[in-house]
Amino acid sequence: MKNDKGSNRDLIHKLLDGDAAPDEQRDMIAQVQADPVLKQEFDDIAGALRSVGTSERMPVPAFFTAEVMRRLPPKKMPLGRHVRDFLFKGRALKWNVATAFVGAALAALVFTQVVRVQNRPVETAAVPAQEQLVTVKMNLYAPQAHHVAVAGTFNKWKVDSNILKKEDNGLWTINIPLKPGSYSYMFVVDGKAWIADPNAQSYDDDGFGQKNSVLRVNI
Amino acid sequence: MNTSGRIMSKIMKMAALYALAGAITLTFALRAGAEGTGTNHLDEARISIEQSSLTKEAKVGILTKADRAVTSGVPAEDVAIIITRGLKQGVPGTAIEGYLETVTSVKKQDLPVRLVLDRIEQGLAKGVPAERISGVTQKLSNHLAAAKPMVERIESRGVKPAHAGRSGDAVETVARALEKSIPPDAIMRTGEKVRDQKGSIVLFDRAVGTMTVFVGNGMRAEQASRLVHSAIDRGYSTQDLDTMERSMVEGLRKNRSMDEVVSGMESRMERGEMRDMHEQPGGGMMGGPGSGGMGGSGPGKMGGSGGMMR
Repeated sequence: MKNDKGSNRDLIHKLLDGDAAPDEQRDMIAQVQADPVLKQEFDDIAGALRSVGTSERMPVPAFFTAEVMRRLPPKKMPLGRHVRDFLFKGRALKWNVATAFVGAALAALVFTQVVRVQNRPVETAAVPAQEQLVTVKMNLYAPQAHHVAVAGTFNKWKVDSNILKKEDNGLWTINIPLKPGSYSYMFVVDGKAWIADPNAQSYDDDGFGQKNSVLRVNI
Repeated sequence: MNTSGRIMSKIMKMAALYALAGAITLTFALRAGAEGTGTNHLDEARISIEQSSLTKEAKVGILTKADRAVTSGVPAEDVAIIITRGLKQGVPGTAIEGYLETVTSVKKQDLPVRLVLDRIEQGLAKGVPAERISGVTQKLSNHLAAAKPMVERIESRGVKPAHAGRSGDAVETVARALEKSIPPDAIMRTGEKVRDQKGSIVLFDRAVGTMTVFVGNGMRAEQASRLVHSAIDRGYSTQDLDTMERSMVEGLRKNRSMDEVVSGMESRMERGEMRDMHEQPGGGMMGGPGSGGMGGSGPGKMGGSGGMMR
């Protein structure tokens, strides 16, 4: 009997699910129509299905799981267990390519900063004498000149970086801040004539047959 | 995952992306900051080469030599100056390549390169013929190679090295002395005298420099070394050696012969007069020590040089 009931229910499910072939379906409908008990059961199940299909579907709130978990009674653990879990519980590291890139970039950045700091010279509170600047005034009396520059070891012999200013009395002057040391230089008049400072401290052979002026800057 | 979890995840992902972009930008910025100046100089030189009328082979040759020079440690700014100034002066490409080869070779021998760079830059600025610059700088680099072991020997014999870098200065000074045909014996003797006075490599550097200035102004090497050795024996300082140089210049300005200048200096040294009187350097002096700052970070000194174009 139980078997008959079970096979009948399978028959109804197969019919309602649309799993039966057309010939099989026709036989099944005839069988249901012939058996009042079976028909009653068929009608009940079909009605339940219709009722479910037409009823309003309630969406599950997003926080449903979290809310359920929150309402569960807290599992009480001793403090020692908390500490032990924190320290010794195995952890799984979740990663992705973007995170790995960020980690690598930050590691590279930290490494370069460390190298930069290690290579930086030790800074002292006082400015070393070699780094202090002394302003040196250079001048040349050349009333006929239109343009006077000074070129030397302090400016890599550039003829256009230190231009003297003409005063009313024909004196050309310039103030140049220089570190302590020894410098060779010459005045360049009107862009073509290289002239040693007539009142230089000293002179030295320039290696090409001319004399450079020599300036020694001391603190 | 719930809503707040998804929002947190989005925030974390965006933060990670921004951090990645920031880290990459910062890394490039740091590199650019470190290399920016050199790159700009080389770009300038590259443009000059491209715009020049040199053949393609010559352009490639200069660029290759420039790259080798910078890689060996020659400052990019100096490499750029040699190229741009050389091209502006119409120096042949092969000569420019030669200059770059010379400085690269000096650098590779771990010799101070500043003196050779200065000589090339100076020669180009003054319009000295290209082959003359080549010859002078080649000889100078040989003198540098000879000077280095001399300075090392002097230091090993007890002359105190002052600071890092001063040994390099001394090598350059000795090379210049050798260039002026000052005998190596006289230079080594100077080192011994400085050691006997417990002087440092700075005093040795200045003493040899003074000898070179003397010889460069027409004094015989034997006279120059005698004067300087006598000064060191008397405990002269670097400032005292400056005074000696000024004294020689003053003597020559008064149209005295070099022999008269030398004997006059020796007499003054005997009398103890040839010492630094805390004078300011330069003929056209403007104020003494501490006579007013001029925008420098130094002690407010305003030394000067001044002259008249006759």
